[in-house]
Amino acid sequence: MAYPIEVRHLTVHYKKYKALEDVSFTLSPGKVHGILGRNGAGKTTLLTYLASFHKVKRGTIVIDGEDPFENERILQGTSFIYDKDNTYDYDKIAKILKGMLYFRPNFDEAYAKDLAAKFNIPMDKSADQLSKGQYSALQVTIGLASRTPLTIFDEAYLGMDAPARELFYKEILLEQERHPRTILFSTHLVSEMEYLFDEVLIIDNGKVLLQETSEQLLEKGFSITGPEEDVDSFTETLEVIHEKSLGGTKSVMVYGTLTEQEQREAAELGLEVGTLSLNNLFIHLTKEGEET
Amino acid sequence: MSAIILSPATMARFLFMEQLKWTMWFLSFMFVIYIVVVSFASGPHSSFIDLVNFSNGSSSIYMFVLGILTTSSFFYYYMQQGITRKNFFLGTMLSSVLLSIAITITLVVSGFILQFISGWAGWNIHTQEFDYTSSFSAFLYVFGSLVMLHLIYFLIGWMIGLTFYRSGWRYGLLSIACSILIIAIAGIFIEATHFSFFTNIITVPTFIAMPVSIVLIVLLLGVNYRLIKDITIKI
Repeated sequence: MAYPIEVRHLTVHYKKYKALEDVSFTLSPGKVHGILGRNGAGKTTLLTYLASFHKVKRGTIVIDGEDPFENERILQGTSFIYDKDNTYDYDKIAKILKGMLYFRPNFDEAYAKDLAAKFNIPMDKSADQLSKGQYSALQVTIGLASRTPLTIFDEAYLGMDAPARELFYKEILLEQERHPRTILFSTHLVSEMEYLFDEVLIIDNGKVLLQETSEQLLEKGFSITGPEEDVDSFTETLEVIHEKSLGGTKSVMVYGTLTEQEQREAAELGLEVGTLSLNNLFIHLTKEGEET
Repeated sequence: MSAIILSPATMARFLFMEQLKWTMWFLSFMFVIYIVVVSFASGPHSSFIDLVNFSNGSSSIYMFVLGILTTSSFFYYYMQQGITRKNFFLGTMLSSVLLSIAITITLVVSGFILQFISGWAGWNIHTQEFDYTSSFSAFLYVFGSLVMLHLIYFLIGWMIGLTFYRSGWRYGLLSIACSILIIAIAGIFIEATHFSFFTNIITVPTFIAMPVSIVLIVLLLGVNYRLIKDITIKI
């Protein structure tokens, strides 16, 4: 089971600071959604509202057809995994995992134990004795094994080393095959997890910058490389988001689609047309101090 | 999805079982301290107050601290597990009533047992501020008063914890000031209290004191529900 999400005109102001401004989007169920944005863009604020940690004052949030705030069914089906402090968490790992059976109806204890073993989390220790990375891995384990229709990971990988993160990403894909659910994945480490996302929502300065499927988004960016003069004339009418030159050769990143005719012209001019990574698009679309 | 797991009754059971464990530790420590003190302080020529009188102040403070911790520890934990604020409130209300009864029963029964063995142990124990052994009605009155007193202290602590969590230190301090006022009011109506500012000058009859105490409890519950019903979970 997976929850669809519909957000309309969500606005959050903290005194004079505009955390979210008229945010509207729809997230389809059963997909992995990348919620991307720079530090302070409003990602965590948005996710805390989706998890009903706040009451919406301006705008609406509808999850699986209902207002999620104080909604027993929706809250029981929503896991919000974020960076937590383990200083005062004195329970043993085995007890923590077993305890989840009381809260999440689809929690798979055997899978959780298996995952904990893969992450090298010592079951006989208490949570406060775990390292930062191990505690993050424990939270991720709980999030995956809970199998809630809506699972939110807010930069949940913090402190996890590269092999652990790789394992986490692999498990997301495997779990999504076995038990599809709506997964929201907030991050600014786009490069290493862009292959996970079915859809991407980019938040910038509290506003939705764009929302596309990963495929659509990747089709919207091109790199064009060739002699400087040819590149300049070819891209005159295009939206260039980044450019660099070396000797007489110039390489530019273009946001937008190329028509068939433009593609033919590029080939005639001998220009090399390539694709952009999601990371490149993200960096240049959210670049500070520049209009995109 | 299956039926709702974190219902108010389930919440009350989880909270009560956990807090009862804490309470047993607390009462055990107090019991040991009492035994040690009574062994030294009472004899043929001197008497010492009974356990119920001895523990009344500290057990109320214990409930008060438990109430403060309810928000920062239990509420925060269970909200992450997907409970609604309303169910948590109802569960906490139920468990705090049960805990107030449990702590009072434990104290009174222990008090009776200690009275019983005092002759054998050579202790001279007397009831001091309130007497619950002379008649059944006196017992019921003291028992009811102690349950309500423990509950009121828990609710006051819960209110302070909620106010600090919800609105920060300024309103938190204001809630402490309000609490002193509530404790003063409770002191007028509940004779068993250890913190009374007016007991010596005002004597309120039982048929007024009991209903007013219940109204005070209902008011505190109302305030706490207002504080929790749309509270922001801080991460």
